Amino acid sequence: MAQVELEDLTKSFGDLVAVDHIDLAIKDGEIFVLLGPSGCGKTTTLRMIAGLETPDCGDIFIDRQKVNELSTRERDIAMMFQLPTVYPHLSVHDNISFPLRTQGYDQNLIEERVDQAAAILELTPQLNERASKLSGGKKQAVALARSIVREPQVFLMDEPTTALDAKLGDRLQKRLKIMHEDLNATVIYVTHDQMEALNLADRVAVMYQGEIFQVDSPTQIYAQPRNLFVANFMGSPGMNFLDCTIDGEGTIHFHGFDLTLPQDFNQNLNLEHLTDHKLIFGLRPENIQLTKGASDEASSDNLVPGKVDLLEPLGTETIVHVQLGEEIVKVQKEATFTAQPGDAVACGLVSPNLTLFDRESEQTIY
Amino acid sequence: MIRFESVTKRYGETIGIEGVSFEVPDRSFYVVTGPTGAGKTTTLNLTSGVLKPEEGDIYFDGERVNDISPRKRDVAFAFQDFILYPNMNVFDNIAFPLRSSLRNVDRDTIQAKVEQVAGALSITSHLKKNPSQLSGGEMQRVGIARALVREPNAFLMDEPLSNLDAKIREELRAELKRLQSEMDQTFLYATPDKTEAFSIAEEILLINDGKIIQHGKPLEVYNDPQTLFVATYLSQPEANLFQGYVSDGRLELTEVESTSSIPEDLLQTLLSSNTQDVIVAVYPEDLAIEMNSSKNKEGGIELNAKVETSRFMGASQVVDISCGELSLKSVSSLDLNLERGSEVRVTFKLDEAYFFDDGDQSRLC
Repeated sequence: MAQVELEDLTKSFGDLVAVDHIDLAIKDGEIFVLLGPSGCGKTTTLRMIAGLETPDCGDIFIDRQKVNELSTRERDIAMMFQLPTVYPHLSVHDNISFPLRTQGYDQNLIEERVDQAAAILELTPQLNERASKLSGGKKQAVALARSIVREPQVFLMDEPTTALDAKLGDRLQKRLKIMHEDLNATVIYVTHDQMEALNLADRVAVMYQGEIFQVDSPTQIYAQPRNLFVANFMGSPGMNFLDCTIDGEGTIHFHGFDLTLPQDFNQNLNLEHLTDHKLIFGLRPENIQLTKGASDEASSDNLVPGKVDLLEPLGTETIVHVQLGEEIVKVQKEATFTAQPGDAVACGLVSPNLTLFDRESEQTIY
Repeated sequence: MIRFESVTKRYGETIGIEGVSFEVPDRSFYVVTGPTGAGKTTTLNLTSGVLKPEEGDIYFDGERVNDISPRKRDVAFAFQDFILYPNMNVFDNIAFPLRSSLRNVDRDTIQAKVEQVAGALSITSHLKKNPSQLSGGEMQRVGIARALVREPNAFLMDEPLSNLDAKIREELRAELKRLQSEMDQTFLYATPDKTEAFSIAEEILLINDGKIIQHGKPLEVYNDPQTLFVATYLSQPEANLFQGYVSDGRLELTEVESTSSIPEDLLQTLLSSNTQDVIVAVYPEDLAIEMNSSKNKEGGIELNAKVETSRFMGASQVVDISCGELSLKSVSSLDLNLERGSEVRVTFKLDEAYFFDDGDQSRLC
């Protein structure tokens, strides 16, 4: 297993800068997720690590060795793609043992590694079945098992769960996480699905338009996003944003309502500097307190009156879209919450977990 | 109003749908859901008239439409993969259906309608662009706008969001729901995605292997699954399943070697069904993790288990737990700090679990 370092890595396709001078240090034995929307450069980055694309400039190091000039095969990596690649006419066993047999490994060692990989990926009962008979999720597990037996330095995975239905994807994620814990492997994993990134990663890099916006653990990225894009991208639904200003007393002004900030904001913010500055006030859907009914003294308790716009009852929870003046905020409530569009509600918007952004630079202030 | 009466469609030996009857109320958001191959697209294609039923009848507002051409049925269709006309700008792409010689729509009306739907789908700033200048999500919005620009009898949508990034999907589904309620039109929408179905639907029709399994309001179906398939298909993460054996007023969970008494009302129902072999399904949000043994309350099950892994979900976490040979899942709050291999207790209440017949997998109680 190995660490992977990228230095000043850049790749353009014609006029399009796909990856724009990025630096990353991926630690030995971590699941590192490259996350971002379609076209952000995450797959191009992965393909450069694999040796399938040649960088315009910058260096790639695997286990401290510069690999720019090495072929894919020489880099000692395993790759997994969106669509599972299995040999359909071979049995599961022969699919998994394939890379070892072609390299002339000892038969006993082959059996040992195959058994171990099959156990980790819950494929033991299917070892003698033909690969063509397996479901999509099992095929992906076979592809993963085949890459495990080689004991490569690094696993590179490009959206391996995208083509699977939600349940199979969920199972593969779980197996992957357990495999990682058993093998302590270095895994670089590309996805556009932020929930998958939160689920799997030790650390996440959020990419957008060829740049890396933030590298942190899932909990840090979720709680302390560095800018508006990251705050919106992480979380389902993403963070709510409300345009506001702040005065010298630490009072937030928003659509004619005044909100008092928690104490630590007052202590840490340079209020003089921020007075009348254009700001954005960000709050996660689970941090808004929603109460039913109109309130007369609404704003005095940091409560803002609004009305229900629509409900998304998801079974495990209900997302309530609430209209506050011109804005719509999304609030996460328990599954038993009921209301009708148009119902009067009040939103408690002040939470220790709120985030303030600069409206112009879109960067986090606090 | 769209109504199917015992409609069957086969493709050679393969069943598309079989004996399907349902009614889409006027001006509702009606979602057909089920796994790949369930018959969702067949249902939509029969509605639009692209396919003809072999048996049964289809009605629009009480009028039988089996022999009426797709064009005369006048429904708008939106697909998973839109094909935009590459040589037309976004405005002209959206306006295209209105410029059909069949519909005599004047220029001002076209202008107004296109601007209205473009505004609703947040693509006003792209109207003069060419499709090649748009991202995948923007193209899909244009495709949806093109379907919405007319005022047909109904809008049929076949997985219009399936090819989009998760984030865009989440935003667009709420926009579609808002649009449907503003336009006050009938939407018949197919998706395999449970979360999407629940988010937008007033009513869902759950189908599998061409047959209707259950229909109703999403939460009513979720909280009252009539078969084991419903409970597993609609739960995310998937419901926990236990093999159970009922005898002498007690329930034995055979894989985990736990025996407990059954609350009286549940017991009466189980006894009257005369079934001993049951499957007990527990949704992950109803399976609690406790670090210490608690007093075993009436009608509660408590099992010793081991943490396999936990996955951060933002506002909560999914914990994978092993209990003997069984793998279980719990959705829990983030304040539980769980390491791999930690010994924990998992608990659930029998009256929050669903009992199914192990034979035909129908719901017992």
